[in-house]
Amino acid sequence: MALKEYDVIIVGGGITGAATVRDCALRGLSALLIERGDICDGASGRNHGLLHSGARYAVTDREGAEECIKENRILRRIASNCVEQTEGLFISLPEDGLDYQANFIKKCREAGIDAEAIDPAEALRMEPAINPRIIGAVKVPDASVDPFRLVDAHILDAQRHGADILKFTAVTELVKEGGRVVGVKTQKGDVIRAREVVLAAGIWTAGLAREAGVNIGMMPSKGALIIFGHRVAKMVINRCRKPANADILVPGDVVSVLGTTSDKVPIETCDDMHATPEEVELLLREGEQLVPCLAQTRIIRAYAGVRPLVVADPAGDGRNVSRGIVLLDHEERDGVPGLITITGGKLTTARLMAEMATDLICKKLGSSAKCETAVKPLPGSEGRKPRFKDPFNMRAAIGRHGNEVSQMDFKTGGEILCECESVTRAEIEYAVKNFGVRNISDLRRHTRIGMGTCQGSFCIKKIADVLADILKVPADELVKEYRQERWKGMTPVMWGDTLREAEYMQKTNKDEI
Amino acid sequence: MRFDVVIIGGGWAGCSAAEKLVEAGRKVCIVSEGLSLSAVKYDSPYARLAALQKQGAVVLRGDRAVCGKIEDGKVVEVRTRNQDEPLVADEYILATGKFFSRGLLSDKDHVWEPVFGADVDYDPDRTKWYDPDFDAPQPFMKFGVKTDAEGHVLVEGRAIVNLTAVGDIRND
Amino acid sequence: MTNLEQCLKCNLCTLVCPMMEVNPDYPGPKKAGPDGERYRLKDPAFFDYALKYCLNCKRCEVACPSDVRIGDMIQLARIKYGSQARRKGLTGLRDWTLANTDLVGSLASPFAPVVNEVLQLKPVKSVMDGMLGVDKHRTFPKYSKQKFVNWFRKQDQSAFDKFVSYFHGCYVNYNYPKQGQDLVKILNSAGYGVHLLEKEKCCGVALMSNGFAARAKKQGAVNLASIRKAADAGEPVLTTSSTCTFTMRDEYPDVLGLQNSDVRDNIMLATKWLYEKISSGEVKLKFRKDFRMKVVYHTACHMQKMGWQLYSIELLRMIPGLTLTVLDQNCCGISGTFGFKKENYGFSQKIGSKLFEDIRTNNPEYVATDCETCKWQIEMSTGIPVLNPIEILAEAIEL
Repeated sequence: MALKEYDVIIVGGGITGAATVRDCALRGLSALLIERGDICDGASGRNHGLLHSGARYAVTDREGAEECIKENRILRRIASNCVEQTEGLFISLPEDGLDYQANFIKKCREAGIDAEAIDPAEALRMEPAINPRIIGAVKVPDASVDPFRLVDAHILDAQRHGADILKFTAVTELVKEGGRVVGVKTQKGDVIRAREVVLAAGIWTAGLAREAGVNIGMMPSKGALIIFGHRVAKMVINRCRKPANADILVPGDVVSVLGTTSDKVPIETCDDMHATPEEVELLLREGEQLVPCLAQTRIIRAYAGVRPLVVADPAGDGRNVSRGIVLLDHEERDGVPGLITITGGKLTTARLMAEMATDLICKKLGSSAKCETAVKPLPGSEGRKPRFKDPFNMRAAIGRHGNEVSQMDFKTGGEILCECESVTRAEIEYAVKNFGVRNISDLRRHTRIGMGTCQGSFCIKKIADVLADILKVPADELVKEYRQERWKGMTPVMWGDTLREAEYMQKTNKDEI
Repeated sequence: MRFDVVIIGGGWAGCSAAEKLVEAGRKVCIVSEGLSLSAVKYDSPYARLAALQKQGAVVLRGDRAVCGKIEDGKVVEVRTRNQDEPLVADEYILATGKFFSRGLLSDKDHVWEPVFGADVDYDPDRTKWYDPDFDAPQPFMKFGVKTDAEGHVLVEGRAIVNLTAVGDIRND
Repeated sequence: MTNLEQCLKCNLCTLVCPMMEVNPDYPGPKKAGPDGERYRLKDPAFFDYALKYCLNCKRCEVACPSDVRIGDMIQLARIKYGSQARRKGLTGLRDWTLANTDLVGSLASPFAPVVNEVLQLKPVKSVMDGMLGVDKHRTFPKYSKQKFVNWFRKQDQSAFDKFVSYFHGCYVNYNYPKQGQDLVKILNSAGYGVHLLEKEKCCGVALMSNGFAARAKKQGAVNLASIRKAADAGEPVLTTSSTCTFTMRDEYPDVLGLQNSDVRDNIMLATKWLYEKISSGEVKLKFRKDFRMKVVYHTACHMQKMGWQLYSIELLRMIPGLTLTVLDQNCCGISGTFGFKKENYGFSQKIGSKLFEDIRTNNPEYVATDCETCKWQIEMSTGIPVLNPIEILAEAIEL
């Protein structure tokens, strides 16, 4: 079968790949993004959802901090429906001392980050949930970003500018002709040709590159996080000390996310990431120092992602390794033309990573098109944000999807199917149409369905029936897949109310009630 | 307040026990904190409790048994949240169900029965409370209070002769 | 802090919500309470004005297996986020009038005959219906010529050596002194003298439900101060209205943030106090031999929430010659001032229909209930007279 030849193929459907395919499409290149699973299935969907101000890196990584604040400002503009301008606080506890804080403020300012010291009493007034033992606080322009919506918005914009997205299709090898990478071979055996291939597959990049005879020293660094049932603080809360475990609490949508740990893990484990009971204990112990009421707050689940860190020497715990952007021109580095790797970096800096990668692609392809991703708003963020209005069931959708709600039909699809997260049938239909889903787990990434307090206990069968009808698959199988996937995140925190929910889930599943 | 039998828990097990006792002419009090999941099966959620009430049982809806007092191997009274006076009876039935209905409470390391402090069968290792396969039998669904051969609840190893456990609260 | 955490989303509360059954615009206790609260914590703009439909009957809380304070959460949200929703103009005037039972009562009482007449007039009713939004089917409870407190001042209580305090409430004071008079007679005949509180204000329930929480809190503080004085003197504070009782015991701390743990147990319904005193033998009442009455008992919502209906029921069962049937616990639909509003009249009557049917089937001489607004609703909707258990008791004993 003859497949279209592209200017560029991007491997990996996380934020890096999505931002790159968008940039390529905006510059008029014919582009294909190929992803083995669903969009945002890897580290891009398993993080804090923190839009860094750069403050966290100001002391240790000036360059990274400067990148962050610059991108932070850009994303607030171009992705306004994905970013919630919560601002952030760096709090100092007595054991942290105030020396670090003084240096921290100085370094932030040098990096161009507005850092304002706040009286502890004032900080407690702003955020009554934080540890009352604080001796100092600094306000910085951190924000909360919805990583799922951010990646989706990039994908949508790329598609609307002519790019192709191929999901649920693994790349089995890079196709080489005369030493040059000329395309990829998919699991189905198809060969898709392109003038340039970009690896943007996070931690999975190293394996693909090795196939093509290119060695990239990558270190998988696992980060475990916990989701709490509601917002305990309005702002992002950080510890003002040398970055360590569990010292960031982010208000994401209607939950709070606490993280993370940082542990080197074997690459083989990256396909099956889950938080362990030990990691949960550690996170809770440290998190309670930030916000004591976390000890009593309902935990919904725990999960983990893998940071794709690039190292010359794969040793150490990963926290001291540069999390900076790594752009590899394999023609120059390894004598393998047609192949580029873009990795490292952060969710916050993904647009910049994409710009750097696309600049290189354009150079290789002889294109002089300029990057516009920093000024062109993403779908959902164009024009003025729609006003909250009745019907009430649209409000959550407006908050998440911004202007994209104009693509959704609330007249016929206004019924709320997921009550915890207030997700309507209209959003489900929109997600299926625009992103393509195989199951409820995929649907969840694009709608938040089943992500709430009950983890689908109550509504899952209703949702499965709707989706089964669209996909023409048995509803039972959809339920089974989703139950198992949620169970994975619930078991490490299965005590107290989560255990009660577990019993309820078991009973509703067996139709005992 | 004096009754022949005080039943703690107005779910399926508690109602079944109450119906037999009321039939036999006993004066029964049912403490029913919240609806039970079985309520969705009835025509109206309180159908069974209302029928019992019509037959003369006292139903304390939305009330919670706070603590049971045990003296010489027998329950002598049960205190509830809404009543100042304790409930006193010859026989007591524990029908509070498992975790969902809060017949059993848990934290990171323990599982306990809150009304009588009954002996609870559970694994002290939390990682053994569940099976990673959702569809497999879940160990926590077997946790419950220990009883002797007659169904009397054990507290600190001793059978409480006028306290019987019925339904999900049992360890079987 | 409300315990929205503990909601497992089992939806059992939605099975018992009387408003959800009749009004598709009301999101129901789960969505209005713990679900909505997660969103309001994210952004107050998620406040849904449909929360105004909550009757505050607390049936959701009684049904909740997780002890989530669903009703409180909705009340608190209305107070915190819904104040801007307060209507201006004539509807605002109506809400103000309905809320200020105390003040309006004081103004109306001196002119009771005129006010009562005027409020009955058809043209007045249609003006109130059309302009003020008070439903024309409703009849305002008549104002009494003599306030209860004025009657009480003439009662000599000096001969007693044991005393209780009585919180009479607005209805007894302005509209229906007989209920209070009956209680005083019973207590006196049981050997107890009666004191009124040093200062009594409306408990504030109507203020709270009409969006005047700050005023309700001020009045609550006045009441609690007086209740503390009674408690210091060793006197329980008895009431004859289940809603006033519930408000002062539970809504004060849970919704208004008024600390009352020191005196909460001191506030109780007269029926509960009497039942306990009679059971323990401390009080002996002499019943009339010729007393006959066929009564059905209706459990008011707040009575159910307190779990105290059994005292009123058992007290009535002590009366020889009384045939008592306990009705299924259904809501009458009035919910205080809610049912007076034109826009709510239809919901009110639909909600109450099950109860009215139940009453009619039993065909009693009287309906007994501990709540005055249930009384208005049942009398208007069934034509069967409603008595407080205290009135029945007063009739049944030899004085």
